[in-house]
Parts: sequence; C-alpha cells; structure tokens
Amino acid sequence: MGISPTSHPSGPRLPRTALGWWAAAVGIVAAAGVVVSAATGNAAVYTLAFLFALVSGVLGFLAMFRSRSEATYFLPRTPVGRWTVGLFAAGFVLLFLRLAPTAFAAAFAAVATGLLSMLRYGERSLLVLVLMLLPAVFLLYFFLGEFVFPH
Amino acid sequence: MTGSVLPRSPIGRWTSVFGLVLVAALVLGLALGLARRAPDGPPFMLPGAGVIEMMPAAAAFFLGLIGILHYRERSFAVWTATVLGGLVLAAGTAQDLLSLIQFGTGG
Repeated sequence: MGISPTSHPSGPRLPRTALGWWAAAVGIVAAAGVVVSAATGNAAVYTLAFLFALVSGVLGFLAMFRSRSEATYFLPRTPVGRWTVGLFAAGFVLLFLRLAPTAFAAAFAAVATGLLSMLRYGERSLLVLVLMLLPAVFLLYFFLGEFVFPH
Repeated sequence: MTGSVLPRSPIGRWTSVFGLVLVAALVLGLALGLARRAPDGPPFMLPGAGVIEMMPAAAAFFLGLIGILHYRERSFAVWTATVLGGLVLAAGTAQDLLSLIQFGTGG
C-alpha cells in the first residue's frame, strides 16, 4: 500500500502505510505482553513479548522505508552498515567464548552503528536492520527483565 | 576536517555523544562503585557497572574508528572519544579475559 495523498502530510511517517499500522499493532501487543508477564510472573509471555517487539521493530523500519519510497536490499552498501554486521558477528563469537561483558559491548556497538547507518547514511539493508534490532531487543530483554523479574 | 575541535560529520557527532555518555558513566560508576561496598546494596545494577561502562566505550571506539578510517573525521573530540573508548574497552576486555582464565567464565 502506498502513501495516501489524503493522509496527514505533516504527521508522523510511520502510520501512513499499512505496514506502519501493523508495526504499531504488534508493538502494542508486545507492550501488553510485558505488562501481563510482570503481573503474572510468566517468563514465557515475557519472551514472546520481545519476539513481538522484534517483529514490530522490523515492520516499523520497513514502513519508514516504504513511506519514503526507498528500495531495500539484503547486503549492506555503506561502510557503517558493514561494520554493523562485523560487530554483530564478533559479539556472537564472544558470547560463545563465554566473554559475556565484551559480547554485550560489541552488541551495543552494533546497535549504535546500525542505527547511525540507517538514520544518517541511508543504509537500507535488511541484514543490517535485523542484526541491529536483534541485539537491541536482546539487551532490552535482559535490562527490563531485571525489573520485571527481580532477583 | 583537519584541525577542528568539534566534529562536522554525523558519525563524528555520534562518536562525541557516546564519548560524553562514557564520561558520565565513568563518573557514575565511581559513585556507584563506592555504594557497591555496602553489604545490602541493590542486587543487579551495581555489580554490572563495569559492563555498563563498556557499552558506550565500545560505541565511542568503533564509531570513532569508522569515522577516522572511512569518513576522514579528524576532529579533536572524535580522537579523544575514540582513545578514551578504546582504553576503557581494552581494560574491560582484559578484566573479562582474566576472569575467564581464573574462573572459567567472563564478567
């Protein structure tokens, strides 16, 4: 679905496309899941909520690209985008080497480089998008988990 | 971009922001580190203060590195943030490796 000429031209870009509405809907379900899991103490619901959050993030960025009529591609085309992939891979390897703090740092750097490449350098790679959102959601999952399920 | 104090590219500005966040985290870490010595302190955030500092350090270091290597960013702020980020990241990684050697797990 393209941009409707009668929709709010000066309003937010996201809800102008069907994908944007889906992103918002899935995001609301994710937020509701976190609230329900906090109220009931159900860890499965909490995990599921973050899977929904990941999907919502991907849909949201795709909606943003679509609202600007920008084409997406799979592999990164900017240096910052390529570094995002490298940092994610490094974080993944470090996690398996049981160097969790360094892995978290690499994941955070991947999120920062990914966001920068998307917002400032016109990167439209699906790989970068997913590899940026995965650690972002993962870090948020652990951080919020400390509050939702206190030790 | 030679000789400037403040960055002029987006990546330089982001590097500087993460550099500032890192300095704030280091100052906060010092304050929390003092509180950590209390026996019944908050359970989760304080032991992880080193990890929290490593995150902006990694972001500042890698963004600065990308800016210097790929986007000809040579401002003083970017160099400072990159070097500071690199030092904190190296210290954290060394501590992580030592912990892995001593206890079989990082952290």
